[in-house]
Amino acid sequence: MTWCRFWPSTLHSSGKLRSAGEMLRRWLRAPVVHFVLIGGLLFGLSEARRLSDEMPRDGKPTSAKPPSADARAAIVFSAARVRQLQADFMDQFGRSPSWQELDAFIQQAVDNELLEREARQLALGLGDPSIRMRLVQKMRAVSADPVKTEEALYREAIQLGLDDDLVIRRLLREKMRMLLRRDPVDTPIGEKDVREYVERHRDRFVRAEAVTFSHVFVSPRIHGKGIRQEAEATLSRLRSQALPPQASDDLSDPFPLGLELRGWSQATLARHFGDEFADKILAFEPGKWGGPIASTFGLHLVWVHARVPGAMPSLQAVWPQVVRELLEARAAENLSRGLGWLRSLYEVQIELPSEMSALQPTLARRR
Amino acid sequence: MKRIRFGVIWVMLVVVTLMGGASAIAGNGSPPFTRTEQREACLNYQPLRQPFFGELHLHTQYSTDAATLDTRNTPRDAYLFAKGAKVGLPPFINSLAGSEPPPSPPSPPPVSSHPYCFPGEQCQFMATRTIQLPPGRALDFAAITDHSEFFGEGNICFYEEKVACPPNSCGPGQVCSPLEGRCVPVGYDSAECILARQAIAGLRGGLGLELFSLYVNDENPRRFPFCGPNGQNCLFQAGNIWQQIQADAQEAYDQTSACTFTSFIGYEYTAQPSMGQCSTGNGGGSHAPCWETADCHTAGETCQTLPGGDNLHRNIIFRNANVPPLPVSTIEAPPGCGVGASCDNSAARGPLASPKLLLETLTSQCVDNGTTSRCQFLSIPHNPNLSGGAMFLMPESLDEAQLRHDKEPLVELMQIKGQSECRFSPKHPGAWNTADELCDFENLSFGRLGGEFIPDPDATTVLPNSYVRNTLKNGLQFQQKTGINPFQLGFVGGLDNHNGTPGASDGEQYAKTGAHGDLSYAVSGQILNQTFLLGLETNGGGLTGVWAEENSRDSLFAALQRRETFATSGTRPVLRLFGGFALPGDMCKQGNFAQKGYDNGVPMGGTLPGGPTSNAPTFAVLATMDPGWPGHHGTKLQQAQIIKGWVDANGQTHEQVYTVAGQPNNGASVDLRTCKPQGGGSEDLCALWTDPDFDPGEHAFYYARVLENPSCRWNQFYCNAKNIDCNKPLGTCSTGGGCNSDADCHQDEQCNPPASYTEFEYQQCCNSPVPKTVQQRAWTSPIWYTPQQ
Repeated sequence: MTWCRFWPSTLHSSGKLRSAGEMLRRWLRAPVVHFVLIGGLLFGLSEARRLSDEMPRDGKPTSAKPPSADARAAIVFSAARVRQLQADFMDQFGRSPSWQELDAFIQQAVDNELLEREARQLALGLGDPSIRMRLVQKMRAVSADPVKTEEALYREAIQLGLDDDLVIRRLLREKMRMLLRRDPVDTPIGEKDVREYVERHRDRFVRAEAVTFSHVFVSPRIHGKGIRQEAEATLSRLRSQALPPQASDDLSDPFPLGLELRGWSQATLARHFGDEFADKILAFEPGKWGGPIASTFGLHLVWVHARVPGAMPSLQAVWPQVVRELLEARAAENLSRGLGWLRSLYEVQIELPSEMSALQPTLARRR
Repeated sequence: MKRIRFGVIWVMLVVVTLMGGASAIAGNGSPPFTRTEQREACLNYQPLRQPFFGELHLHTQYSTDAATLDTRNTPRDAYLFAKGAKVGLPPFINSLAGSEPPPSPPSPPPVSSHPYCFPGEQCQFMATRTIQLPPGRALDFAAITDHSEFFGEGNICFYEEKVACPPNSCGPGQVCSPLEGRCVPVGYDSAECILARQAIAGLRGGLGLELFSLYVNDENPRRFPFCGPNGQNCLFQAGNIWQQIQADAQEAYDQTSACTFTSFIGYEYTAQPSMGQCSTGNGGGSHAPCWETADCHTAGETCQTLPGGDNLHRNIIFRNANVPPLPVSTIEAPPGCGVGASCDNSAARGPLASPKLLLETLTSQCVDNGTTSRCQFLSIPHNPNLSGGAMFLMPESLDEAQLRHDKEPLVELMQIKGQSECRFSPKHPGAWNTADELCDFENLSFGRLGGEFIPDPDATTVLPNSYVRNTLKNGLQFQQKTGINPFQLGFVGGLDNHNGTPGASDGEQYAKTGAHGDLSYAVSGQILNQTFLLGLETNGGGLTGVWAEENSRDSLFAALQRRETFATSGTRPVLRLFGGFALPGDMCKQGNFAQKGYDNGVPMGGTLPGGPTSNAPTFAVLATMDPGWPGHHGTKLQQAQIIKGWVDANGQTHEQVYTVAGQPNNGASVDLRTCKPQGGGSEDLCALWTDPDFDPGEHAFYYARVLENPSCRWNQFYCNAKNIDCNKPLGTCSTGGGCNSDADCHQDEQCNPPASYTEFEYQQCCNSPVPKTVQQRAWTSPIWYTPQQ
C-alpha cells in the first residue's frame, strides 16, 4: 500500500539516496512548500495592507506604531460650547435649527476642530507667511519694545499663545484641507477614467435632441390682419396638392434664417423663434405638414424631416473639460476620505445639554 | 498578387474621387470652407448658411487696465458668461472674519489665478455684484482679446498666489521675495508694480494705463527695466499667460457635434501713438498726423503736439489652435513712425501709423511659419472715430495696400466707445462729408484717446477720415488708380468691455453695471459725466452677426475672411443682403430668399464684377427684428436703407442714402417712464432695389442699414431706476414747495432732491445734451462693384 507523504522522500523508488540538487528540486515542487509559500505571501500582503491603511493619506511619515486615540488628546465639546453652536446657527441663519440641522452643524464644528488640531500637530503653521505676518502684527500692537526684529516678535507671539485666534485657526484649517485634498500618488487620468465620468454624468454631456425641419413662413407684414386665414389656406393647399418641402419654397414668404433648418436644438429654437414655437415643433410628427404655429416673426407651417436623437460626444471633444472636473472630484474625494481618517484618529466627546438629549441617538450612531 | 494590387489601386481611385466629390457642396455656387482642424462634424451644417451672434472684442483680468479696475474675471470666466453662466463684478470685499489672505497652494503656478466668490459666501474676494446674460442670449462664439503688450507685466505685478518659500521652491521665472516670504515672479517688487497694485488697493479707479502709457503712446516703445534685458522676464511671463489663454479657449470650444459654442484665440494690439497734427496754427491746416515737422508735406505746416494718442488698436483673431508662440504687440511691431530722426526702429520707419510691420511680422510668424502651418489670422481695427484720422491713411505702397486688403478685411463699426460709420451734427451739417442725419448716433465728443473733451466737435477737431463710410470711398479712389482696394472693409460689432463679460450689450444691463470695473460702479459720478471718455457718451456696445454653414472655427473664420458679416448696435436683428445683375423679381414676395440670392448674385461682403454692358445691379435686403427674450420684447423694425458710395471719372467720391423699405416717419415712439414702445413698425422688412443712378464705369459699394423703432437709451433706464421724473422739479425746499435750485427757495434754504437721486444725476438725466432715446440699428457688410478693366 502506498501512503501519501506531504514532503518529498529522500530516497528514489529504487532505494538510492537522491542527490542534494535533486532533493532541492523535489522540495521546490512539493505541494506543501507551495502551500507554505503561498500562505506566507498572503499573510505578508495582508499585513502590508493593514499598515498602509493606517498610514496617513498625506504620505507623511509616522511612527511605526499604528496611531491610536491615546497619541492625540481627546476633543471635548462641553455643553456650553454646544449651546454656543446653536446660538451661532441662529445668528447665521436667523432662525432656530431643526435637530438634523443642529446635528450637522455640530458635526461641522467637530470637523473644523479635527482639522485644526491635526494642523497644529503637523506644525503646518510654522512656515506660512500669512500666519507669520499676522502674529508679527499682533505682537507689534501689544509689544512695549519698538525695536524688536520680526523673528523675535514672531517667537514671542507664539510663546504668548497669540496664535490662538480666529483668523489663524481658519488659516490652519484651510491648510489642513489643502493637504488632505492632495493626491499622494498622482495617478494620471486615462481614457477609462474619462469614459466612466462621462457615462456617470450622461445628462450633462449628451447632445440635446434636435430637429431638422422645413417651413413655410407667413409674414404679418405682407398679410396684415388676414394672416391666419392666409396660413390656413396655404396649409390646405400644401396638403391637398401633397406638396413635399422641396416644392413648397414658392408658397413661403421670404425668411432670412432660411426655409430648411437642420439639427436645431430646443434651446436654439427658443432663442430665435420663442419658447412656444420650440415646444410645439418638438411634438410634431415627421413627414407631414403641420401648424400654423406662431413665432415672434409670424406664422409657420412646418414639415419636420427628422428628430435627431440626443447623442454622446466623442471623448476627444470633451477631454479637457472632463479632466478638469475629474481632478476636482478626486480632490474632494481625498478630502472626504481624509476627514474620515481624522475622525478615527481622535476621540470626540460631546457633552449634550439636557434640552438637546434628542440628539443623543444620532451622535451615538456616528461613533 | 498582381490581381490584388490592381484591385487596391481601383479602390483607392474610387475613394479619392468620392472624397473629392464630397468636398463640393450641393445647391449653390459659393465654395465651401477649408477644414484646418480635426473635430466632430457639426450636426446643423447648412450650405445656405445661418446667422451666429458673437463677441470679437473683450477684456479680462489679463488686461492690465482691467486688472487695475479690479476686474477678476479671467478668460475662463468670460467664456462661462458667454455661455450663460453668472459671474461676479467689482467691488470685491473680504467676507472672511479677518483680513488675511488664505494659505498657499502646494506649488507656485506660472499664472496667478484670481478666485472670487459670490455675494453671501465667505472668501477673501467676495463679489458685491453679479451679472448674467438673459435667458436665450448666450453667444454662439467669442474671442477674448486682452492687451498683449502687458501680458507678462500683468502676470508679474498682479501675482496673487501665496506659496511660502522656504519650504517650497519657486517655479521658473520666479524668486523668493524676502519681503513677503513667498514665491513671486521676477519684477514683482519693482516700483512700477508697486504703483500698479496701489491703483487697485486704493480704488483709484484709474485705468492704470497711465503707468504703461509709454508702451502704447511712445514712438519707440520699450519695456520697463524690471522686464530684464531685451524684456526677457516679461516675455517669459507673457508666454505663460498666452498658454493659459489658449488653454481656456480650448476648454470652452465645443468640439462635439452639437457645436453650441466656438471660442477664438486672440489678443489686442494696443498701439495709440501720441502723434501730433500738421497745422498752420489757429486750427488751420491739413491736420495730418506727424511725429515731427518733417512728416508734414504741406507748405507752411508744422507738427503741433496734442494731448492723448491716436487710436490705432486692432484685434488679432486666429483661425484655429495653431498660433505663434507669443503675440506680436506694439512693442515688437510699432506702427509706422515716418522717417524722422527720432524713430529708431528701422523696421517701423515708413508710412506713418501704418500696420504694415504688424501684419508682415504676423504673416511670417503665423502663415509662413512651417511649424505653425495652417495658422491664419485676421486683424480687425476698431475705433477709427478716436484715431484722429490716422487709422486709414492712404497706403504709400502697393505692397501695403495688398497687405491691408488681405489681412484687414473687417472693421469694428460699433462698440462701447461709439460708432464709426459716419457722423452728422445739426450744428455743422455736411462737416463730415455727409448729409445723412441718421449719422447723428452714438458719437463721441473726442477725436482721439486720452485727448480733451471737445464741447462742439467739427471737422477740424474730429477728422472726416475717422469714419468708415468716408474710408470706404477712399478705398475706391485708391482702387481706381491702382487696382487694389486697401479699405475693402466688412463690418463687425463688439464691446471692448473690461468686465470680462462678452456680449453684455443690453442697455438696461449697461445702466446697472457699466463696462469698466470699479470705474463704472453704479454710484460713480463718472458714468453720467459726458465730458469723461468712458462716461455718458458711451453705450452698451455692439455685436457681430456671421453667416456661416456651421458653428465651428473654420466655418466662422472663413465667413469673417469673406466678409459675410453684419454689425449691430447691441440688439439682434437678423439681416441678409444679396446683390446681382439677375436677381429674381419675386425675391421679396415668396420663396427661398437665400437660395435665389446665392444662385443669382453675391452675399454681403462679396464683389460684383462688371461686364461689357452691365445693367444696373439689384440688391435684395431682408431683415427680421430682434425677438427679445421672455419678459422683454425686442423692438420692431422701422426702415431699411441702402447706402451707396462711388468714385467718378475725376476721382471725386460721392455717397447717397436710399430708403428702400419700411416707414421712416411711422410715428413710433417710446414712453420714457416705462420704456415701452408705442406706434407701428414691422417684425420683418424686405426690399428689392435697383440702383437708379448706375454707371458701369464707376467703382462703387452698397451696404444695407436697418433701423429699429426708437427705444430708451441706457441712461434713461438709469434715470428711471432712480425715480427721476423730468416733468417734476429737482426737489423740494426745506419749508416745502418744488424747486430746481437753491435760488427757488427762501433765503438760506436749500433745494433738496429726494433720497433716491442726487442733483448731479437729475441734471444729467434731464438737461444733458445726450439723448434719452436712440434707434438701434444694424449694418451689413458692403457689396462692391468693380468695373471691367
